[in-house]
Amino acid sequence: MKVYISDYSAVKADRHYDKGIYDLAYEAYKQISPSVESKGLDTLIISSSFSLHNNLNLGVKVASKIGIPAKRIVNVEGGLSSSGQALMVAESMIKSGLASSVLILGVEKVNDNVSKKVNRMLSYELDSLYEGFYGVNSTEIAALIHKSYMRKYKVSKEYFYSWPLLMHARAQSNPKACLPFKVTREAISSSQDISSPLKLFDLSPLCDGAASAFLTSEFRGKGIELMSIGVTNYFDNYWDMEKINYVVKSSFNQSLENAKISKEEVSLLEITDSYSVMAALELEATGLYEQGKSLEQVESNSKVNLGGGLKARGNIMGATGLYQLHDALNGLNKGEIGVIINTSLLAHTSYSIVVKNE
Amino acid sequence: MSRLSVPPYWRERGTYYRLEGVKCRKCGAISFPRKYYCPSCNSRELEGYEVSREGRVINFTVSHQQKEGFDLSIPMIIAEIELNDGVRIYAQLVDVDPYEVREGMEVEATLRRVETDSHEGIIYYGTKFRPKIT
Repeated sequence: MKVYISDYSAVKADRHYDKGIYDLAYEAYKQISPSVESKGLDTLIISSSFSLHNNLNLGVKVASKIGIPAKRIVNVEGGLSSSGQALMVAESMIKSGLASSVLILGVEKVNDNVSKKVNRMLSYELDSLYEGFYGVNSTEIAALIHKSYMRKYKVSKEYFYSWPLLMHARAQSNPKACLPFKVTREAISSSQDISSPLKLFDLSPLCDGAASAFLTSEFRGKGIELMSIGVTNYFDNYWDMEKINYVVKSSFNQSLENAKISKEEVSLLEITDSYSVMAALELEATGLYEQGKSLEQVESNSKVNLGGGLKARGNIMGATGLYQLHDALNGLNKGEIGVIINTSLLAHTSYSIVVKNE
Repeated sequence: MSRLSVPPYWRERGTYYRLEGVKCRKCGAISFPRKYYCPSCNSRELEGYEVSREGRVINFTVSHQQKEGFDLSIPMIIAEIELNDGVRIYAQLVDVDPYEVREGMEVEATLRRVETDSHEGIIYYGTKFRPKIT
């Protein structure tokens, strides 16, 4: 049985001080409600992360508050990879015959918290009884990985500048992007030190937002086929670049194998560049770019993160995978195949989603 | 949610104060923090093991990120340390200027305050590392 993404939407990623979680969810839903209400809805899946710890069973509340006529409601939380998990659940439900139409609604409201708290929340994806207790978060671990990468491949910190330069340039034409402005090498090199050697532009801005995808078992709407999903998890040694490579490579290869395509048939990539070094490691794990050279090999016309990635479109935590899907589908021409790699902050978990514009 | 309540802090006191992990009875692999199985051979035959309190810095970062509860720790030096028994851990380095930290620096464990919960609340202690006093 084929699974189609018949419609999708996204709200501008931003610091929405004037909007709450239900306002954002409603905006994303409103954009695709004609498709959903004409087809009818079996299941609503809410994909969220930070917003769930003080909003238990959020899906029921969202459905009730904004009026989504779902027969079943499921909540999915998987940190930054929540949307990948939600897509896998939706695909499984449709392929098994349990559902014929599933709406995934990703929503996140991070900026009601002060930066100090958000920075601490970034440790939630690590071991809360160890790293969390000592105040260590994913940014500091990413800094250590960044240094290891520089040492292993003998590259300077300037090697990483090309990524924010490209992502910010691309975000300028993405109306949903949080930071749609051009940056210069000078701006990057003189930006704030966050955790040596990471500069501000090596991180991704945490944003509020909401995005959706409507999956059906019939060929309808925008006519995007969800061909397959590959997934790999590995929680130990998350500072180890080889393990990150293994997780992403394994999920990527699984997804291609399940879709019965080769990597040469992939026209577009959307990766989870939570940190600049994660962009490099994920690109290299696909085998489409050389180890230690990937960021130099991505050219201005490469179809990678066309909407500006997490770096400039923004990091919307539990809704990020749906934003990645949104940006990828907007850049996917007729007949092309794209792969969206939605990982957790340090790629302990990787979902690789293959889509085709028929 | 961000700060531990007293019961989990009490339950983990061996991890925080004595660096208690586990050692596999079959293959000898050490896990810290403790696990319920051996990630090397999948055995569940484990015994308590206190990891070495001395080692050397193999990687480090100086963090300027403000975090709730850690205002007094900024800048925070986070190091990846290879302990003398081969175990690798992350820990905060103290008693050293960020500019003086070097990879290869010999360090030793020291019990320090991690965080305080208001004037009347609990004071959380844990293990940090400092340059080895010879």
